[in-house]
Amino acid sequence: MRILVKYFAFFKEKTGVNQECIEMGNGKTIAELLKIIIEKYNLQNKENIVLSLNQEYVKDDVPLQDGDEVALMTPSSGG
Amino acid sequence: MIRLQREDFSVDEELKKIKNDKCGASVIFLGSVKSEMDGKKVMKMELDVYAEMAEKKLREIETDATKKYDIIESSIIHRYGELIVGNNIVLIIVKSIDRTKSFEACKYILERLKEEVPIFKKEYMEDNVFWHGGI
Repeated sequence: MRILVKYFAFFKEKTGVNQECIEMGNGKTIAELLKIIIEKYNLQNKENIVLSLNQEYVKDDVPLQDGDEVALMTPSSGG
Repeated sequence: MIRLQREDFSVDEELKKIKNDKCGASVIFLGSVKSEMDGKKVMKMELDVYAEMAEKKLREIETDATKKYDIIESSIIHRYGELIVGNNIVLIIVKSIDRTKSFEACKYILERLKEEVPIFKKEYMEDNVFWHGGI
């Protein structure tokens, strides 16, 4: 399956990309996607990553489906 | 009305856009870039935004506030991009018949915006540069 991954704030700078497609086997979770991304970009402070799936905040134990959109963000700080 | 934009806004113009003579109370929150944080000088600020999700969250917040506080008209505008000290960041206007509800609604929208809307601040201090959120 193909997952569209979007990067914001710190993660956009750290990875050097706004978004990319990542191929994974079926039935994987966000945690497994995150593991791939963390290794690829040598990310640290995993506990500070805020995640969304199809524009809703989620924990990393949620299963993914082909075509899903996942975002890596820092905590909201607008206002 | 929800808007995310790079350019500045005029409070007067935005008030005119949602003029409604049924409303006796208009409460406005205007957030701007402050010159100091934790006693240190702020040089500038950069705001990143996940636009599609931010617009969705802002619409949810506006809808919830409208129901909860009987809002007749409202406007939420948030800027992104590079901002300097004194620049406007966010504008919330709430218009309703009742002033108490208007104040409460404005606070409700602001608190949820800060908590839920994916907008991210990068602070350029005199001696440090960092994204909010402990990273």
